[in-house]
Amino acid sequence: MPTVRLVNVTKRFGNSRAINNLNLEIRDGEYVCILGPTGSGKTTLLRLIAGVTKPDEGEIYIDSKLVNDVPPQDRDVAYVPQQYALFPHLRVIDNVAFGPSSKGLSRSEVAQISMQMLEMTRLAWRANSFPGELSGGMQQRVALARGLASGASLLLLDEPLGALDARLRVELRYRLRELAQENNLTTIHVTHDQEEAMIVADRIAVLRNGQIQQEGTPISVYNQPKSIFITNFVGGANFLDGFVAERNLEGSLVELRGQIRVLIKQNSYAVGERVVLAIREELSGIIKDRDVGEVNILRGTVEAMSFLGDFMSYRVLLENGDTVDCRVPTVMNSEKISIGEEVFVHLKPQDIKLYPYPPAGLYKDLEAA
Amino acid sequence: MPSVRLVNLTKTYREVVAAENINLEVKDKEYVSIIGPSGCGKTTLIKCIAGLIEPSEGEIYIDEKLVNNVPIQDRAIGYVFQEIALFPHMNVYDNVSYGPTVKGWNPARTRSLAEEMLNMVALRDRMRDYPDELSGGARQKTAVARALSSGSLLLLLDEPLGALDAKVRAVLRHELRRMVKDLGLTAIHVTHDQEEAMAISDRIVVMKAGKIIEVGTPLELYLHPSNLFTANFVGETNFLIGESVKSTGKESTIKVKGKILRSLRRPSLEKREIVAAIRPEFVITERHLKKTMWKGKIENKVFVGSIVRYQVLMDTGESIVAKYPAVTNRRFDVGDEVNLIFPPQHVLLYPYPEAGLEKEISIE
Repeated sequence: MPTVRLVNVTKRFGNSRAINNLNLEIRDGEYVCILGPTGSGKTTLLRLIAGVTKPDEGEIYIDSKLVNDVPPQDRDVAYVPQQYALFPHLRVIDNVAFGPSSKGLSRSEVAQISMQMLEMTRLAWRANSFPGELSGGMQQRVALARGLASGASLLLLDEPLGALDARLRVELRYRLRELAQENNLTTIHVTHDQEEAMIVADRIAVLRNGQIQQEGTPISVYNQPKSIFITNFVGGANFLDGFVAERNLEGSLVELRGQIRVLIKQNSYAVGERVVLAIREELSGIIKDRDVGEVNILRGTVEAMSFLGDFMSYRVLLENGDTVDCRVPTVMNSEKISIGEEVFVHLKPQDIKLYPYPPAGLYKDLEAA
Repeated sequence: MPSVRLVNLTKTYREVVAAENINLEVKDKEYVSIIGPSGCGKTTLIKCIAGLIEPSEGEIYIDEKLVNNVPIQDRAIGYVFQEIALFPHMNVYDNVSYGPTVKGWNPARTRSLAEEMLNMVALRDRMRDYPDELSGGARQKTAVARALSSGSLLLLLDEPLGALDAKVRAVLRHELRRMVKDLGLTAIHVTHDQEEAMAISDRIVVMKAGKIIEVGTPLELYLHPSNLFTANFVGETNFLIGESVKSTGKESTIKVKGKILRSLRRPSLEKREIVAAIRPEFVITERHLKKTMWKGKIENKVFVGSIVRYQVLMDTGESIVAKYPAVTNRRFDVGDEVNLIFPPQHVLLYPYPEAGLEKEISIE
C-alpha cells in the first residue's frame, strides 16, 4: 500500500533551489503526473522519491515511513529514468529478469515473471532480441517491463514516452495507464506534455520553479486554473491586456486597447486596475455575421488558419491590433471562412477569466512555459 | 524562386535502402512537411536536398538547376537541425550575423539584415546574450534567425522543434510558418509530429519504409487519406473489418460481424474483405436506446481539455473511440449503454491489406 508524502522538501544545487519547500501527498493506487516546463524541478523531485538523491531539508515518507536515509534499493520503488540504459549485451528477457533474479527467486519464477511483464508491454515476441535490434519505442517498453518486473508497487516514470515519435506516444499513453491499473501500482509520472498528463493521470501537480503551483484532477486544473501560467501551460488560451473601466454586482467592463470594451461576469477587480483577460481558444467563437442579440462581438480579420484534425484553428487580428485564436471543432465547422475575410469574434462573458496583470509583464509569465 | 524537384531519387547504405525511387516536387513559396515513423527515410531525404548526403541514384533540382554535384555551401539554402549548434562563445547577434559576415557582405547590409531577422523572431532585446543564457525556445529561434539571415530563399528544417517542450513547440510552429510566409520562402520541414505538420504545412508528404506513400494538404490527408497507413498515422482512427455486400451508385453496404455499415465510398472491386475507417469525432453516440444496429457500453472516459474521449466496447466485441468537443452538452459516464451511429459520409473504405491490418498500419 504505497502512499508518498513530501513535507517541506528543499533540494539545492549551489545557490539555486531545484525543489523549494515542496509539499505533496500521493494516495495509494493513485496515478499522479508531475507536469512542468524544462527546468521546473520535475526530474529532481522524482529522484528524491526514488532515493538516488537526498533532500537538503524536509521529509519524504513512503507508506508513512520516513525514508530520508533509506537507500534506493530498500525503498520498494521501480524507478524508470529518462536515460534508461538497457544492458546491450543481454537479451530483452534477461534485461527484464535482472530485477527478480537479484531477489533470490527460483529460475522458473524469474522466467515466468519476466515473460509476464513482456506480455504486458506487448513485447513477448521480441524476448530473444538484443536491445540494439529494437526501435526506440520498444526499448522504452523493455525498460518499463524491467521496472514492473522488480515487483515494486510504487512506479516512478521520468518522461517515459519522451523519446518516442508523436504518434507512438499517443498510442502508448493509454497502455501505460492500463498497466498501472492492472498491477495495482501507485504511479508518479513526470512529463512536460499537458495532453499526456491529462490522459494518464488521476491527478496532476503543476510544478514551476521547484514548487507545486496547483494540483487537482485534470478537469479541475483545466477548468479552474489558478494563474496565467497554468492557464497557458495547461491547454493554452487567448490573453488580452486591459483595465477595469466599470464594475457592478453583475460583473465588470474591461477596456482593451483601442477603447474596445468587453463585458465579463467576474467582478473581483477594482475600477482602474490593470488586468489580463483569459479565454480558451475553443470557447472563443468565430462568426461571419454580427449577431445583434449578443454582447462582446469584436470585429477582426482572419490572419491565418490551420487544420488540426479535431479542430480548425483561426487566428483573427482584431481592429485594435490584438490577436485571438479561435478553435472550431471540425464537426461543427460548417461555415466557410478564408484568410483575409472580415469576421466577428464572440467572447461570452461567463467564459472569460480575469487575472491581475503580472508585475514582470504578461510576456514573462507566458514565456516561462 | 526556389522550387525543389527530386527525380527517381534512391539512397542505399550497403544493403539497406533508406530512400527508394522518390519523386517529389515542392513549389516556390510552398511549405511542405515530410512525416513518417522513425527510420522511414525522411531525414535521409532532407539531407540529400541539403547536400549533406549524396544520393545513390536520381536527380535533385533546385530552381530547375541540377544540383547533384553542387556542394552544400553553394546550394543557397538555410538549414536548421534538431541539435542546434550555436557558437557558444558568440552572442545572439554575432551568431545571426555570422553567415553574412563570413561571406564578406558590407557591414551596413549585414547589420540591417541581422536586425530584421532578430525582430522577426522577437529576440532583438536579447541580442547581446550568449546561447547558454537563453531558454531552449529562444536558442531555437536564434538558429532559425541565423538560417534566415543567410539570405537564402530555401529553408530546410530537420526536426527544428524536436528538442523543445510541447507547449513551446506549439507556439513556435505558428511563428515559423508566419516567418516563412512573410519572407516568401520555400520551406521543407521534417518532423515526427503529425499535428505539427498539419498546423504548419501547405502540403504534407507521408513516408514509410523509404517510400513516399501519399502527398496531400492537411485537410486531404485527414479527411480522405488514400491508404490505411496514413489514416492511422495522421490522427486517430477507428477501424472495422468487414465484407463488402453491395455497392450501388451512391452507397456501399458493408457487413461487419453480421451488422450493416453504410458508406458513401465505393470499395475497390477486386476484394470482398474491407477495412472501414472512421475518425472518432465523427462517431455519434446516443443515450436513448433505440433499435439501431450498433450498441455498446462506455468503458472509459478521458477529459483532454477541449475534448472528451470515450472508449466504447460494442456488443460485437470491437472497441470504438468517440470524441466530443468539451463545449457540447453531450456527456456520458462510464457504464452508460449507448447506440453508435457511423454517418455514411465519414465512413472510408479500404481493401483489406495483404499483410494484415496490424502490419499495414504499424508505426514501429
